[in-house]
Amino acid sequence: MSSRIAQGGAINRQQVCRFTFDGAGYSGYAGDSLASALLANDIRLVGRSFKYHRPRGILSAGSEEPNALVELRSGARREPNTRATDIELYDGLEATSQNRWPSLKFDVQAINGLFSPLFVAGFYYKTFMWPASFWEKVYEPLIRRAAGLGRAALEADPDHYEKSWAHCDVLVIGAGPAGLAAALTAARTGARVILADENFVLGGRCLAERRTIDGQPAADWAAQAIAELRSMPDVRLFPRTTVFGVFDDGVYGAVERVNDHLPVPPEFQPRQRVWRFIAKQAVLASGAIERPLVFGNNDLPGVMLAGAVRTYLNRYAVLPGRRAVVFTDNDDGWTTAADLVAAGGQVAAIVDSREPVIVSELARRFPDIQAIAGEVNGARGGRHVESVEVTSRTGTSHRIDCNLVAMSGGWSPTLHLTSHKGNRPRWDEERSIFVPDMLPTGMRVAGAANGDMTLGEALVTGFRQGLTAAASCGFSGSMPALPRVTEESARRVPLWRVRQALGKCFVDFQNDVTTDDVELAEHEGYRSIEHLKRYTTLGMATDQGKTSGVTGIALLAQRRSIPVAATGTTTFRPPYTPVAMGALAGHHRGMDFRPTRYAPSHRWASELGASFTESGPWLRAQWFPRAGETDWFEPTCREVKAVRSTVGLCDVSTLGKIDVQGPDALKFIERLYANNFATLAVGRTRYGIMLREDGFMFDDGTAARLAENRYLITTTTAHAVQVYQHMHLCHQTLWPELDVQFVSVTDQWAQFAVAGPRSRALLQRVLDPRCDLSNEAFPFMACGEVALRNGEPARLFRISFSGELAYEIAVPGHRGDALIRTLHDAGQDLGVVPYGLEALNVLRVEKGHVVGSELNGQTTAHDLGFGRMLSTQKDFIGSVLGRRANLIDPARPRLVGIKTVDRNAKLAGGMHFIPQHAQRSIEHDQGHVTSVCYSPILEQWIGLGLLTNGPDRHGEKVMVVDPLRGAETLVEICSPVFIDPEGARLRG
Amino acid sequence: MADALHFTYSPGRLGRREGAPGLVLQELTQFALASVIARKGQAAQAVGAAQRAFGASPPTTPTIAAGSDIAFVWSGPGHWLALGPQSTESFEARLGTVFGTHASVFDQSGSRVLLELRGPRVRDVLAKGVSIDLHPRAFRTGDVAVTTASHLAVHLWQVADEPVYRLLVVRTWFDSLWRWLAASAAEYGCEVMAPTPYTL
Amino acid sequence: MRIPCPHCGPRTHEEFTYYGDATVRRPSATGPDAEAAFYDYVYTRDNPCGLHRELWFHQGGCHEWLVVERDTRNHDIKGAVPARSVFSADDAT
Ligand SMILES: [Zn+2]
Repeated sequence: MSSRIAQGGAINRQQVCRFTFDGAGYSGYAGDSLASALLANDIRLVGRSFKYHRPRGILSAGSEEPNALVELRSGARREPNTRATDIELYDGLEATSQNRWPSLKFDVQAINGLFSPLFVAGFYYKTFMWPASFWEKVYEPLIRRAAGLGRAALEADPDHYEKSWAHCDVLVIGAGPAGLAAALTAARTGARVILADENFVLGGRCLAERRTIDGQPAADWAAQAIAELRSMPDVRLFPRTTVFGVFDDGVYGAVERVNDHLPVPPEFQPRQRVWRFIAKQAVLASGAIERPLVFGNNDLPGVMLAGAVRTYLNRYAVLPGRRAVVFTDNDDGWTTAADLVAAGGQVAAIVDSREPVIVSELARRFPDIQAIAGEVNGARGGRHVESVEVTSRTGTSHRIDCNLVAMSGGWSPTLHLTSHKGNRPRWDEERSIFVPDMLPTGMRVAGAANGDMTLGEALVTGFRQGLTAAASCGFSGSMPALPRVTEESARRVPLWRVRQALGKCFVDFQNDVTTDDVELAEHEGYRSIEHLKRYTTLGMATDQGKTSGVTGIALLAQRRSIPVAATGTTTFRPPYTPVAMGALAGHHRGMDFRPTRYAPSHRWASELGASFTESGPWLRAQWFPRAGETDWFEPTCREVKAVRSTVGLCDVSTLGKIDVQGPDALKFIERLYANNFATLAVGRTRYGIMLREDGFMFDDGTAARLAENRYLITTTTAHAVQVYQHMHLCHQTLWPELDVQFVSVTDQWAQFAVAGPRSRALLQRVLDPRCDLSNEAFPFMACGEVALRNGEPARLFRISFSGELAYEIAVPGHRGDALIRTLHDAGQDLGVVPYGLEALNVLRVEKGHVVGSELNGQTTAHDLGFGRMLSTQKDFIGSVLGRRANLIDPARPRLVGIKTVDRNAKLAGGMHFIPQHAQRSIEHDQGHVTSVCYSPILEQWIGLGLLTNGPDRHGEKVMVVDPLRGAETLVEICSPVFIDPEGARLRG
Repeated sequence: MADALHFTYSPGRLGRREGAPGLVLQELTQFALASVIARKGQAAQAVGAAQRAFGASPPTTPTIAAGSDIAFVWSGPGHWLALGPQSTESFEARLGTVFGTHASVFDQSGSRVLLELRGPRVRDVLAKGVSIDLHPRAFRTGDVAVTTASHLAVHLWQVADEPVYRLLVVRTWFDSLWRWLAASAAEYGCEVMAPTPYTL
Repeated sequence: MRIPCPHCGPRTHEEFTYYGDATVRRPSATGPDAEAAFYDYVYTRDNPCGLHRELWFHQGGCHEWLVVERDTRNHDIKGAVPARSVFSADDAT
């Protein structure tokens, strides 16, 4: 650990952390980042660049890092593109360099650099254009192997992620000096405060600088501030938490890396947690990001941001290079030189691009450092910087040996979050920085994020903004005494690129975008900053141009000879730094992807070995296989036959049920349904159809008149929620004058179909013997309250979806399991058979009942044979537009039944109707097949379809064609009611 | 009991085993439940009728009002859930007699599962799926929220300052709610208590 | 986005279902130009840039329809009132 400084730093030298990088073992200390530990171990070469595979090292000390991206961990936990600069070192950490083959030091694709003319701006668009057929097989695999940023794990992520909400009065984003100051003043008023910082230690640049606050080291001041905040009950501190997005109305997205600092999260703990902070006010104290300078080979390992050098020196006690050249266009660079000297490093020279008068004034304050007014033309070295070429203002050139170049192009406010809602920052010409302009409602900015770069300004603005934010939430407090701080200066004369460069000058390191690329793009007409971004890829990928954006804009402005303000910025969008998809999904993955709804008979059905299928949110039994039945076909046919010959049981609780009461219940129902309900007597049920206001079919179901002013209506399973909302919409906005009350009782009633010739016999065994089920007492479409043998109340409906004598019996939801078992047990000698969704479907197709495939949003009542049901005596939803000529045109595709002419032929849903001798083309398309099934009763495939002029074509033979799978067969058009068209069975 | 559906509600410890549980969870059973919706223009009369009969005024804000043996949980304007002990008598009929022409009553006794939640981390657990602010400055004993927990519709109310919450969830969705609750409480440890009959 | 439900308090938009324009009114079904009026009511919509009154249903809360005033440019919500009050007031006038 040769580059570790003997003393100091916020690291715990008692706690050694062993780690591997590209398989070799190293060690660092708790408190290190991976980057600082690598530097301490003299590892400078960390990765290869995206396009040219150039050697890259560590540029920064934070989340802005474009170069030092590594794969973290291995196997299923392998995570690509993690930034070595903000990975917290832990014992057992495994990291692997990316983008190199076969090894980091000998990368065969570094030859890409020699062919760099191929890889200039727009190279994707130019190189891989032709022939188009090459794209999938040649170009894309080639690009993916050559470029790309790391490899994702191939196995499922073994860890879990969570989402959570947190509320506060004041959210403070960033826990540097400004953020801590804001949190302190806000919290002292009694406001609820959340303080979040992306780093694993709170304190920001207080940890990285040799500055004092009221005479004590800034880090100590920060520690005291954090201790005070921690002691307050209504303050929540979130280290390791990146606020990545600002959303509407005070909602902030954040990701907390709960256990990323451990090899494996402790049992039961999430790896990461996505927070949604809901804050009345927010103080953005996200600091600033230093800009690289643009000179030749400025991407060589060993060329670092000057502020990052200070972080490594002061926070991590690492000397990133023994002999440094500092290259700066501002005063802050001089602080780095001073810190290097203080840490025992050697500063070969400080090269300041500004006027000699400024340089010599500063040089007087740093007598030990050789100061050159001039510029660095280029860095030299193979896999690491070895020297720099410097030209002074007087024209003399030097080569200066060094193994560290600390560069400072000034600091850009980290203002991304101010513009997530669409506001653009404003260019401050005087300071040559973008500063926040219009802010999201409730947001304030403090410190360097607002362009107030010095420690003193950060503290003052932080205190003030924290206080005003709290005041906006109704809390009052006072400004603390302003602390005395080390003096500093943020003077700068921007140097966007050096005048004379040796070698490639990189603007965007992550995307290998050079000054030449920017010029070429401009030359080729990509003059808008948004076009420049897409054409050159400047500002794309994981870092989104954090270090390169402003320089790119300035260079474009320079090239176009327009002011920077006229160039504008690209749009900042969430997330600020990448967020794992797993974290965004949280708990909702796998079988928790969305909630599952279980029918009341679920447990009973699973005990019987039922196969289940998803039906909307519900999990419903598909069929109930018996021993020896291996597919869906056998049990389905058996179940259908049982219903038609003995008796079957089916859970139909999933249908939507809405209980409607009140003096105007009938009026309400009449306006909702297209058919007449005025004549429905108490104790009777009627089939009803609802239209949408545009005249198309909305839903169908039944309405049972339970009492004078009480109706129970059912909806399809699929439309239950929409119908319920629709009813509220109608009541609350169209007819608020109606005295009607209704609620969903879908869950209150477990409801089972008891269907088949022996259904009456089965029910008589289950119901109170006094209950008369005769045709006279309880005819088809009757309904009423009944009692079970044990006295429990139930509701009985004599309705049939199967066309058989059938009933539906309902009991309160928590009694459903008991009832289905009672029914099943009681009917054993009657041959009772549970049936599932497949059999239900066959039964209804045989009977010509429509479901979702026919109620597809494009069919009208006339299409489905309900035209005569439409009342002409009343206004109802859809009554006016449903009468439109085009909607009742007989030539529309209308409901028919179909059966195959060849009794062995099969049918598939979605087949198209084509006249028998016509060409199989779209011009001859006459509709499509909506539902098909094998009818075990008719012993052939049958179906329902929507056919032009369908009802007038019974008996005609038409082709049904499936061009996708190359199938076709001849069918005979018939009535959609295949079984018992007179309805004798269901009235039996 | 809630276990007629997919999973088995069984008493015992879930998640972290060491230390005191962060969440204590108990199903409350044997309650009667009904929706009560005031007739048009009759909300005040409905409230008066309940006050006379049960000693509880159905609230006009999202709170719960408890009377002798029946509590009214606000559910919307002029809309309440009446919660009482299970009995052989029909709850709907009992309420119907009291409210007469002032409100419509709908039995819901079989539609929901009722849970009681307490423990030092109960707010942290709920925050993983409930978007409303449960801080004592924002939500107090007696307050009710008709909201969603992990995307599922729930009624949530606070019954004690400790805090203790009750969560009423639709029965057929309960399995998904349970999976979310168990996953969310796992890091703190969760003690599932044997179901107990509901009391006010 | 959060919507201040006048009954439940401020809630995240995930609890709500969007419906659309709250300024259109269902025409009479009996007039001679009923079909044209309904056509207009169902299909013709303004698409304002700026404040818009919209119907939202508090599906995850009180089950009330709300008239929400939203700025279509930035999703700022100016307020929400019960639809019942808005549509009943219409009747009165
Ligand atoms: Zn609401």
